[in-house]
Amino acid sequence: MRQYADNVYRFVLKNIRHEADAEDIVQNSFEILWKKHEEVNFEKAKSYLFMVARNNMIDQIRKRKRAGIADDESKADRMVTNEYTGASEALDYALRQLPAKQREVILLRDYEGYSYREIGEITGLSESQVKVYIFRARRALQKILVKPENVL
Amino acid sequence: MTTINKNNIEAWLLDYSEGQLNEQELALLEAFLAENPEYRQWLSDFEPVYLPEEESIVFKKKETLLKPAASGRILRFSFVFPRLMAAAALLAAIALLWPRFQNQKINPEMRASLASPEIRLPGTPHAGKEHTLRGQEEKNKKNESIPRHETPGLANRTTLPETKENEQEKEKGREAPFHAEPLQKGMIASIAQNPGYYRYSEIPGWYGSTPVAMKHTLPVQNEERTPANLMESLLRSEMARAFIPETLEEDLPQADIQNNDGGPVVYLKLPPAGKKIIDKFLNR
Repeated sequence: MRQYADNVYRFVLKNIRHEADAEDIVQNSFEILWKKHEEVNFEKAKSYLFMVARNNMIDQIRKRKRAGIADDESKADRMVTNEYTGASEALDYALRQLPAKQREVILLRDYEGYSYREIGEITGLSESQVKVYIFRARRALQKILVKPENVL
Repeated sequence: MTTINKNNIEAWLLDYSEGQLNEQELALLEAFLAENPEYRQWLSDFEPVYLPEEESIVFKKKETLLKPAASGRILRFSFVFPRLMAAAALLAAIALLWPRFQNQKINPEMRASLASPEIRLPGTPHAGKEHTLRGQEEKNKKNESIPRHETPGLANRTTLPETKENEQEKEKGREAPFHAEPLQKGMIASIAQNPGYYRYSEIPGWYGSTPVAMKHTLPVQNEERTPANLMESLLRSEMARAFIPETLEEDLPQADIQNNDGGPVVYLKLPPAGKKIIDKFLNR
């Protein structure tokens, strides 16, 4: 459970970049998993958790948009572009530039090690679509990171 | 993937870069690239970036996934059931000594054991209030054909007797102590004949479309979750509650219910294997 909590939290935080919201989403996802625990295969619990967290995350993003809440992080990103000081920061910055779907699938692939089929189950995409998004994400990351101003 | 087109070429290129294509698929890709040379450039330029391991981001509030929320509403997934069933092990002794308690011949040591923090049970029950899981009202209506109170002796089990003592307690502004009736063989036999989810108190609850369970929480002590433990914990908790009615521990891991203003509720599934426990109990 502790490991899953870290994994889900990292996935959500990397996507929405709002700690409090990410914590709420993790807690809510575990609550839902608990309620559905009899319906969820134990071996699929982690995938189910990610799926629930992702749905919660999308709802949260929509709510924030409807409420007109400014994306402070995005503003901050725009302001501090190129101010990162290491490879990790550079990669983090590049990740934030990706469209949401590309970011989701590449996080699930690289951080969590899910197969393309499993990522498809979590995100509701076909395996082929997942591969397309991952290819685009890797290509985009490559382009962002090799821009002259981003070369460390 | 059997065909290549402009909608899925990126998937093919990804597979190629990861060495996932067989000879036949490589031939297909080569043919496609010959007809669409712009994608050959994509492939030659492609230097995939992989995200490094990220261990620095951790969820700092893991304890909130384990403990009851401040509202008293128990929310968090904490593998409660395996631990919940652990209660059975400790409560087993209570069940075995039940007849002795019933005769008020309680061994002082056992009384001390019951009162120990290891066997903490919820306090007074909440009589007469209709509890249902949120969102289950419609199902409740649809399932009205499912008989309720089908077990003799259960329907009024948690109703407080109208004694002078209770009236006095109520006047003091707190709930009267719980007075459980002794377990009856008929009641237990009925449970045995109806394995599956079982509504334990007069408070109806629903798990899906099935009436369930218990009105109170159980302490959790070990990692076992077996059918036997499920049944034992149900039986024994009621027995223990009769004798240590006022012990209530808020910080025990508990299961959740939506309408839990009367206190958290544990839903226990009573599997067929639980019948053995009952039979053993009855034949003892």
